[in-house]
Amino acid sequence: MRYRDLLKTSSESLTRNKSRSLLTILGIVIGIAAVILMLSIGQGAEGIILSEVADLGSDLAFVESSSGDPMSGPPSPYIEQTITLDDVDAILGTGFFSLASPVLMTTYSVTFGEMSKYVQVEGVDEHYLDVFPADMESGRFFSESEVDSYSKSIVLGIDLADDLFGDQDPIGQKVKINKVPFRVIGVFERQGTRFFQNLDQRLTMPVTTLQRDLMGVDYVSYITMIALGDIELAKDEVRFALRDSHGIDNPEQDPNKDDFYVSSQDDAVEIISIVGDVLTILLSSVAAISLVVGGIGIMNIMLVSVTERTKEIGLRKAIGATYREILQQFLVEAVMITMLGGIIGVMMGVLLSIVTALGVSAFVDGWNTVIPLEAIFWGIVVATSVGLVFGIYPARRAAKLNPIDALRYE
Amino acid sequence: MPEPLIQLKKLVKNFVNGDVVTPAVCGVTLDIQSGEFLAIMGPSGSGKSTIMHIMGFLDTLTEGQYLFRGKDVSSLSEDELAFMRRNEVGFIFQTFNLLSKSNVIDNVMLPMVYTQIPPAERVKRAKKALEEIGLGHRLYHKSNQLSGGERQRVAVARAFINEPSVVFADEPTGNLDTKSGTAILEKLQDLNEEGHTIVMVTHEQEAAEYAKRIVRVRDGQIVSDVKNGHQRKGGEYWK
Repeated sequence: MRYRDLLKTSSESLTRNKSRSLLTILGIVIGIAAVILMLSIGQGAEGIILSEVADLGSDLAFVESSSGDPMSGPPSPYIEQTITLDDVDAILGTGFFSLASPVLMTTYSVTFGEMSKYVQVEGVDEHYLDVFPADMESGRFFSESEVDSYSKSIVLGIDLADDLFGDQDPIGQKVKINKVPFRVIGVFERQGTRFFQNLDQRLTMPVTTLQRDLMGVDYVSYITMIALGDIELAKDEVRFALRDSHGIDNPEQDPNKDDFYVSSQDDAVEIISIVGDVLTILLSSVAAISLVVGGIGIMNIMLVSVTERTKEIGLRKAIGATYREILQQFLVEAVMITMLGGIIGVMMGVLLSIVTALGVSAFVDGWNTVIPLEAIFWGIVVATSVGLVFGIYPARRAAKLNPIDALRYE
Repeated sequence: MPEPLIQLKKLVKNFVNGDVVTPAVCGVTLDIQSGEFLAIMGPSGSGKSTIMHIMGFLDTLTEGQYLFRGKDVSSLSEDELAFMRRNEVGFIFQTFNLLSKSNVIDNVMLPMVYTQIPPAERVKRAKKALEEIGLGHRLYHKSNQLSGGERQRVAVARAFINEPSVVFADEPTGNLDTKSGTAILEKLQDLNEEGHTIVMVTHEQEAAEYAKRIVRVRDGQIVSDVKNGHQRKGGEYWK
């Protein structure tokens, strides 16, 4: 039998039952489209996080409270906050850093007149802008003396300022946070999002004020540091300094014994890529399940088709079709239908990815449409193989039919 | 006498269903020469269709021997049997067995799908065959839009399209009115006169009279095998 005849015969029987063929491939279409969409979103998110991490600079390091090495297992539900402002001095004391700046993060409700808004509050010091650069729309940032003197000054994101004060000039306005009055001294220029946080809705104040007058604590969330020389060497110095100041005896340098965790860009990239890998494995499992389910559906329909066409198979055998030729006809039919499902699924997945990316980029700056080319390739390949695997049984049933019995079948 | 095209020697066929063995053919010996027009007659259950199925490579025998052009058919593999069906025989069935959703010309071309004949040649051959049988104006009708007589004519064109050595017709007029049936029988006679070998199974005396030789079968055995002295000469229909 010529390939042309084989393809023609198989495609004819598919087009004869158009709606059934379409319903049959729906499972495969949805499975493939969903995987491509999810991978696209995952890779888009990974891309944006990686580029933001890269923007931070390779000389930047962080230290935060930790109950062990976050790479070695799930984080403990309760972490004792152990990093304080004293650690800033300890870190600078090593001489390996040009800068160390603490950040304390929390949320509060801020009130202006009748207007009240729940916002992200960051306690920072005067070096904050050296680490996370931002230009001022109006007013100014905190000075060293304001940080040291527990000044009740705040600097706002531009959207928050708009929301609170509308057309009024925000500079010099008085607001209340947890009943404590604060004065606005500056507004940041528009910054968009970073790590999925809307920077234009944030509120910053001196870390000292936040600690003493609002939260009543002496810890900070993390300290950011800019290393002078080799970053790995500098990170080790931080570990020595903090073990010393926290009184931790850990000569074997077991990160699980420390009550803090030092990380840099490289560590963040590593964690992100692990998350990405896990995501890919999860999605692949979902894809595998949906393709198996889709494949069983195809096998079912192919068996129905073989039964329906018993007489046709008998006739074909009577005019000289071999076992192999009947087998090929039904196998090609199954493969064609799943390949079609794969192609439609890929097209739908790509389309949905583009639409989703357009939607997300309205809220997240720098979001790019990512079309996972590998997933497209594998989507079609796997869908086609599903047809091959699940088509074999029905095709063999057809090919094994005895011509006399098949011709007499009613 | 030349070597017969078909030789059946003490052919036995039993159908086995569980423990029950039903004999269908009980020792049939029959020679068919190339160019014959043979009718196998008998009541239903006489085994005539089974004999035809074995001769047409659709079924296998239980005992005895079947030689086609002197070659023992029992020794052929499944694939070799398929090639024999493809190249040596054509079938006409009582129920036509056309692909109802395909058009007329595709139905006639179906046997050529399993050959290496180039597509253009297939169309040419099928058109010619359909014109000769009076369906040149119906090439692209779906076969389920045709009358019974027309369908059987399509089946006749299909049976002869690969130039087989022998065509087996299984009750070809069984589902047709007299006029359509006569047309088919006269066509078969014409084709036989052009040199084609035809074996027809029927239980109608009238149909059998178109053949040159009539073999009567009863209970799986041949009861008479005679030359048809007064072959019914038709041919008017196709003049």
